[in-house]
Amino acid sequence: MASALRVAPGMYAGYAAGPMAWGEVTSAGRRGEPAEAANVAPVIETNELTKRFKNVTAVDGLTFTVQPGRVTGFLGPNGSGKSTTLRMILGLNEPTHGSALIDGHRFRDAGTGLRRVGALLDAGDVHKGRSAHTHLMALARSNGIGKRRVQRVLEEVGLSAVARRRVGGYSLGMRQRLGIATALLGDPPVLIFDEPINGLDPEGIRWARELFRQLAAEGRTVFVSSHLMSEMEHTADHLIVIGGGKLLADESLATFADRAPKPAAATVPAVPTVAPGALEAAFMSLTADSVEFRAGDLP
Amino acid sequence: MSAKTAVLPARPASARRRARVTDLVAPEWLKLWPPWYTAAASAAVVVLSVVIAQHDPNPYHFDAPAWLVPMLAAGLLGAHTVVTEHATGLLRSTLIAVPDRRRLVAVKAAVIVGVTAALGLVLAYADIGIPRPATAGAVTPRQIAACVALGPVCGLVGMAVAALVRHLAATATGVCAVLGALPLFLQPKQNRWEHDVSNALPYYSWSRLASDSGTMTVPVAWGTLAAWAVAAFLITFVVLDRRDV
Repeated sequence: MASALRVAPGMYAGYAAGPMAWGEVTSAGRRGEPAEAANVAPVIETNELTKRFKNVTAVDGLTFTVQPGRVTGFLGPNGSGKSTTLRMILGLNEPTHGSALIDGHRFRDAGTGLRRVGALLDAGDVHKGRSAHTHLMALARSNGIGKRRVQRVLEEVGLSAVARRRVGGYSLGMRQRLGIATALLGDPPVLIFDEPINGLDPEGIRWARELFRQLAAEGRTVFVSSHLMSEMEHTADHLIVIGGGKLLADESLATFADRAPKPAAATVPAVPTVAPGALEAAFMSLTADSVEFRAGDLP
Repeated sequence: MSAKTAVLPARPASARRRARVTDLVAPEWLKLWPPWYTAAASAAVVVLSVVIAQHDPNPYHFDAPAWLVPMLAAGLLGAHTVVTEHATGLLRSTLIAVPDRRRLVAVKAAVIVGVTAALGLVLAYADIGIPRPATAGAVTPRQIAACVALGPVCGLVGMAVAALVRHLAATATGVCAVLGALPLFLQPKQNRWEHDVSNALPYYSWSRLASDSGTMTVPVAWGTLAAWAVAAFLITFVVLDRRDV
């Protein structure tokens, strides 16, 4: 976990120099914001955020803040409104009531977005007939990001060897890696991931965990949604928990863990106890020679 | 930390630059199709239209039925830029990269207008110059301008149909119905209302300008084409700006 990470201070020099002013790339005047916006901490804030679809209230008056410099887990059972909340934060869904702001502004008002926010919502949000390279190039060009950065993120997620293949032939895990590459493309101060480890192999899961922690250690705002408590245990510093669209908890991992009730008498045979992480380490050791896509590999 | 996990190198702030207009247009061109494919499809449309136009007995006019092919091609191309984004979910990735939806629609429309106008220009010269080189010089600038304008109008109509329908097959059917089937079913020679409605279709407005057929005046024909383009653009603009994706 955190103690095992080797995070060099000031690794994110661009961000350390101050995030971009919100209106920097937008058309002059219409949505431009004052320069002092550059000094505002890049937090995600929601205020009474509500979304109704006809008679169904998917998100109901959510108010929370996601702080920089730590991994914030966003938890809730299936259908609790996590994805809808993330979409409203990213301006893809319009709130029925309330607001969602990133760095003090609606994300929809930004002209270009990749240098402000990187997001993986759904690994399937890509044209299956295009290659990973073409997909990333198209997105990069729209934000004035160069070819070298595309190549670099492909190497980072371990897809550089298959970057010219059609995405339609990728496994779910490979698409998740492509989604993470998309999020990293603009080297943004705010990162949002929706169920990012779905389909990843153990090597990929370990890499993703370390990546999220490292990004947070560099001072970025990292917001990771999941319904897997065990995964959050390894990744998050702080948890926001929702259920039925309402906020249930907004507290540190340790405080949340204290809510656990005392174990009741066992009604089914207990699973044999193993040392923490031993199962994963054993799997990694056993399959070390057969991992095909390894994050950080050079082509 | 895994020994294999690389650290993302930060780009110095000085390496960052503002996105230019060309940066916004380039990805839409990349997404339109691989360029060789666009060129091959465009060439096929030109050849098909020229072959059909060979049967036109009037050497000074553009053959209207032959231009139904590029009309449909331009409409489907416009629809393609919108409907594939919806159908594949790519629109969400695109809108995270370019959150300003109005800007995105404007850029998409600009690319479609440029590509289809170029196609119309090539086709106008190919249609007259290849089968009837002796009469090519008699073609008026108005006729050429009408041919150049037709593609963008149809492309924008295709985008509007795609924005409204969003489903691949239904969008293709809708484009073919609006641009291809309506002119065949509603013809100016029949009763009064059909006459008026048919005159309001891009096909007959273009016919008036490029083939001198029909009874409407030239300004009305230009106005009709412009009205279709503006209405189609506004529909795409408003629908995509308001829709949850």
